[in-house]
Amino acid sequence: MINLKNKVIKYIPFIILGCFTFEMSIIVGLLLFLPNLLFCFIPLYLANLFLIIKFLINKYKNKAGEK
Amino acid sequence: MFELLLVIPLSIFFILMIINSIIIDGLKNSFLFFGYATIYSFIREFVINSIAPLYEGSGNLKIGNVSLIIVFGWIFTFYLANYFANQITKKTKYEHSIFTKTCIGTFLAISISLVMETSAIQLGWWHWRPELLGKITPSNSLFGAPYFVFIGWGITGFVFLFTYYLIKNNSFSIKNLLIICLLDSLMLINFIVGNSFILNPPPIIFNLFYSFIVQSIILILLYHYYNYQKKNIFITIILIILIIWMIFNSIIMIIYTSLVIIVDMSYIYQLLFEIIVLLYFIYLDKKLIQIYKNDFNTIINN
Repeated sequence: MINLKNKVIKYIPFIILGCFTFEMSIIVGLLLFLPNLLFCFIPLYLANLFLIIKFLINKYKNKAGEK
Repeated sequence: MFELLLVIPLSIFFILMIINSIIIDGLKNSFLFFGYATIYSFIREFVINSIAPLYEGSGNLKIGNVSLIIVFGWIFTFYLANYFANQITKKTKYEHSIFTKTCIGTFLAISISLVMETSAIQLGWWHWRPELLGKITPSNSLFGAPYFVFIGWGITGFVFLFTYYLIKNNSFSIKNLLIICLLDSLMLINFIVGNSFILNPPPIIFNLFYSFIVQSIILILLYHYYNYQKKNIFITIILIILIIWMIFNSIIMIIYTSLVIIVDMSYIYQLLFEIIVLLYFIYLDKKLIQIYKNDFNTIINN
């Protein structure tokens, strides 16, 4: 339980970044209905992607280290 | 209505960020980060809004002329940029490289700026002052956000992260405090002068002279910083790109002025000045490129 709690807390900024990206995409795409503006979201989506790749690499490295 | 879409998520994110920071980094580091970020953002907004304001923040939460929502927005950006830089460089040889981490963090700050600046105007979260509205055209803006604002976000993020890492890694030595004060002051002066030029465009010769001084200062600071810190291939490549960009910029200006001279001969003095500036940059850059080239070879050979 403590481990799970720590893991969630560790990823809070990543969750915030993801929520922010998603929230702004919804506001601009659906509420304002300006799909052209989504072009400006590409770097932010890339940043999210970089973080996911980095987490996967770290996980893979940790598993390799354990073996 | 749209304002709630900014205030509510930002408040929730802010509380989560503080909890995360205290649990992961400890109370002392959290206090350092949030304390410095608040002072930095507040002073930045206060100075710019008092001397050369370009925009007005919405909402009633204000201290003097500073909108607190904008200050919280800056802290939010800095926190995510710092987290992004730390995570990307984690367990790599750049983990303790201040410059590399700052550049990576700045990338995230600019990414957020692209989203915020293009959406915020549409949503009424902040708005341009009437003096500026006439100057924003489709050719100098991206969906209503002038290009210079993205550079502004980049500079603000870069200076914050760089100075924060200096404080965090090396504590409060006199040398560090001097560098921090110098960088923060240069940033503020740059915004004040830049914003004043945007609001009241001076003769182009003043603009050129100003950009000449700024670029010289950047080159001299980079040169000293590069000599002072441990070399790595990433920094060398970034600096070489920057130097090429500066020369390229000067050449574009000369071509532009040459075209203007065809119509109006009075611009001949401006052209002469630009050529002198270009020669000066080539002289400086030639020396710098030699140093970087040697370092680059050393890094490759190692």
